[in-house]
Amino acid sequence: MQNKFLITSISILGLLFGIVGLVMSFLPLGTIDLIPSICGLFIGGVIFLLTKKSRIRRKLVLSVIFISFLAILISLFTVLFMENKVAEDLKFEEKQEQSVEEASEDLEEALEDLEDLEDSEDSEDSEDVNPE
Amino acid sequence: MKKNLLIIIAVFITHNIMAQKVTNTAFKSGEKLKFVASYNMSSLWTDLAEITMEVSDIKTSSQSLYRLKCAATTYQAWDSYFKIRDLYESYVDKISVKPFVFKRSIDEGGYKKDIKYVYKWKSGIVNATIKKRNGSETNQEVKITDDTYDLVSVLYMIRNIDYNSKRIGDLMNIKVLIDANVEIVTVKYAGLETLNVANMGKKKCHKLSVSLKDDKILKGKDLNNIWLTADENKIPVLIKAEIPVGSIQVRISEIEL
Repeated sequence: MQNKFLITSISILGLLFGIVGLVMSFLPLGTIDLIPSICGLFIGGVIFLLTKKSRIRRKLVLSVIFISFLAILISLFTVLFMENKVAEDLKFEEKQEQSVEEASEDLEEALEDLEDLEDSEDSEDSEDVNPE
Repeated sequence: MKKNLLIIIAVFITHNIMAQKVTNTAFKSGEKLKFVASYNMSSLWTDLAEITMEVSDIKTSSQSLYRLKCAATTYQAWDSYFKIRDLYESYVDKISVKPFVFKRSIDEGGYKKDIKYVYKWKSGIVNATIKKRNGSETNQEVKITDDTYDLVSVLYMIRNIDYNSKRIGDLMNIKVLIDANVEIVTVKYAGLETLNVANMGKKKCHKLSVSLKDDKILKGKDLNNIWLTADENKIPVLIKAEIPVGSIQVRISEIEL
């Protein structure tokens, strides 16, 4: 009785891992979403082997294994076959072009200040050369 | 992810050039580099965004400058969950890589912020304008010295440093304007390593370890590294950074010189 309760509890934990893994497999998380699925499959596999010779019904354990396995397959498919693509974003491209135009006024201001600096340096140099 | 990726890249890339003048030989107009930014957790990874770095010419009434543009865009799959559209630009002198105007416009999952620096080298100040998403705008003057760079220009400036004369363990400092504050970043030369580089094969690279005086963004010492190809272009090919929640890796995927 106690064993049955323990096995059911661990199976539910495995099922939770499997479901989380399945949900994560649809997110663009790369190989990270394999973590819960592998945990679910491991728990499912261990419980399956432990209950092999007992009379305990194994529907729950088989569900854990199936869900976790499915999640792993989806994750591997997305990692191996889905290409990383950047969406075409015209608004962002326009912003980049507009930014150059906006910068021109600031550039003139900054360069004007630099010219003043160069002028003052030149006059200092000429004073050095012609001390009189 | 509030701290955006380019900050992490840029704080890696520092050097003390107080005593040396930069003469640009490493990059020119038309250069385009593409990177893949990934988040790592216990050696499992996920690709988040594409970062492009481009150099182009820009003409003003008196000078011809380089526009250094860095743009970060999340991959399509991520856009529905956390959309990033970051744009960083620096307008620099073609030879000295001295910045004149820096612009940063970030949009990270709805968090928006615009920063602009206009350099006044004669007065030794930067006019910083910060715009937040609520529309508030603040202006402030930041005192700078001759060796103060911004997040973008510093990335290109360090490509013009002669690392062959450096010894392992050599420390260098540089001042970088981050969020309108001058931050001092320490860089340690960590020697040569061979890396597999996209469409270049195996390449010898200079390894640099970067740390911030105030570890707000980066974690630990010698955990944050950047690798530059050990050739005349010194292309940044790999960046690894430890952040408070895991680590970030930025690796090169395309090179157009």
